[in-house]
Amino acid sequence: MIELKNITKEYKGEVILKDINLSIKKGEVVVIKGESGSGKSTLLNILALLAQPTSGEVLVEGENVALLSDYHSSLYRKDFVGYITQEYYLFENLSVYENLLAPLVIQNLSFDEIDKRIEEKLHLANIAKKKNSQVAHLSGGEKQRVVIAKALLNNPKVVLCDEPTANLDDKNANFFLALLEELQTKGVTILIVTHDKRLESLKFVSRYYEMSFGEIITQS
Amino acid sequence: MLVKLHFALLLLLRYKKKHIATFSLLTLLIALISSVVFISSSLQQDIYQTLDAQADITLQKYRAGRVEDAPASWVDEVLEIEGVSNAQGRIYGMHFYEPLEEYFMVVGVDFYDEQIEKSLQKVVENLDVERFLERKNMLIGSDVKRFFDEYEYDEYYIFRPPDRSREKVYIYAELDEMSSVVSGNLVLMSQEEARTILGVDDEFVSDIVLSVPNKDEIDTIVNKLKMMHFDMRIITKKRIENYYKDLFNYKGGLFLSLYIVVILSFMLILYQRYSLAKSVELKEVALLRLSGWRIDEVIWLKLFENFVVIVSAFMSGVIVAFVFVYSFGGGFLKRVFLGSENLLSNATLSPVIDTQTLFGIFLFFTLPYLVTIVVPLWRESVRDSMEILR
Repeated sequence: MIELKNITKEYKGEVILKDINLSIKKGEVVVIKGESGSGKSTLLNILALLAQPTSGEVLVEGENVALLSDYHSSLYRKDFVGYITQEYYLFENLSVYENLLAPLVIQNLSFDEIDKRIEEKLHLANIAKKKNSQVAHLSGGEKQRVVIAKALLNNPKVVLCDEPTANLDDKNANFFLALLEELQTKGVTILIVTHDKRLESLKFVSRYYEMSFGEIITQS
Repeated sequence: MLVKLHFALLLLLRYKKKHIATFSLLTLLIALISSVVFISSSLQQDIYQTLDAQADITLQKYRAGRVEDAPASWVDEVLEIEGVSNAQGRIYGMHFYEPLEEYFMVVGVDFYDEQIEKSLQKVVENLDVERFLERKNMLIGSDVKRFFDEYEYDEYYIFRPPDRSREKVYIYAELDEMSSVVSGNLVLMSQEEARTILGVDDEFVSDIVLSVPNKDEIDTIVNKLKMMHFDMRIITKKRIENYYKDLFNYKGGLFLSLYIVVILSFMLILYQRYSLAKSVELKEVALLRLSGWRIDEVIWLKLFENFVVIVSAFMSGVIVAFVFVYSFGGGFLKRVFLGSENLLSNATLSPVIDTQTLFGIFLFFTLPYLVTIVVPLWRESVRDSMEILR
């Protein structure tokens, strides 16, 4: 389903990713481990079409999506992929509900459908109680759960997770992992980059990779 | 579409702090410019109405560079010229009101004349002429009434003609029907009474006004008039129009400095918005791009958001200016136009909305404002969103 072929990314003369080759089948859960600065997040950004590789191909269902036009890459993010970012990329002055409204505005849904979809994802991410709270007043863990709910709003076929449990306590981390397992059973493909030890030996993970200095060094 | 509008308004409300300073400054600038437009439009309308009522040709007697009373016999002489349909001698002049050191315009009117000037027709129509002429009466403008009231001349006023006699004239009514700028300092009375107060002998008139139905004949008639008397001063309606145009150009020059200040302030606002667009707003754009928004969708949102700000500022500015000029009299701006020593500066301005100029102002502020925000966003939004967010 997803295949990265010889992906290289250079930024301001520095090599961030070097000749990455990776293949993920539909419904698989793949975890990429590695220290900060090893290029894991850049890899996810390339898969989310938020950054372009310097060279190489990103094949999704057989089509090279790396060089799609703005129209098609936006469509890809809107309908196909959900991205749980490490930073809380949220509108701080808006409420949780209003933040979740942002991705749905462009989905051509009615107000009722939008309400229903947001309610569903808020419960899924265990943040329904904070629906009307302003994001600026939430704790780190709560914001992380808003990011999770936001990423799942479009019922994505692929979920990209960048350090998804970094700001979650054990209870919420386990809740999140159970959610991932449930998504996997529904055929959603999941790619997680992390250095959280709580994600090291999960039964539902298909493969583990380790990255260092922009290269994949081990697979298990 | 509704959902998009809802979200755009939501962003606008939640991030209102970002727009408040811009909105307030723009409102102030637009109010300032619109006030000038309102005052100038009102005055222009009043002046054009006055010009419209002017005679086609006015004749005065000129001696040693000074205007003096013209012989009444000239009236019959000029009526001999072909193309002149009517000629009338007028009696008018300024009267010095000592208590407040102001001047009034005293005009003698032949209330039975069917060819009476257009501007006075309305006054005469509403007047019981016979009753008015029963004793020495006068009609006074709003400013004159105010000054009389100040010294409790409620019933009559005693004029002091040049021969230093005393002439008691009763106040019949106030001239409130006519345009106040024109009639504010006006005093109307019978021609006989005006002659006494102004000291104009029966064989003389203040000036003579001619009607020429065919405007193409005016130049020819002017040439004939020039041949009649060497001391005759001929003033055509066109010349008066040019005088007013020159006066307005001069005032326009005065306001050029105001326009420059407004333009410079507006440029500062644009620079501030440009900086904001490249920092805060660009992050908002990147956040939306992360959620799958296309560049054109994001630009549309930002355009709408800022269009609401600029349109609200424009409307507020125009409303503030309207209230300032027509309810509070235009304050210092009107004094700049009319001069603080001028009696006319007390006149009330009649509301005139020059939509064409206001639309011009709207475009002047709106287009650069929107371009300043959209262009940097458009250029920067093609960058990688994650790079912008970091």
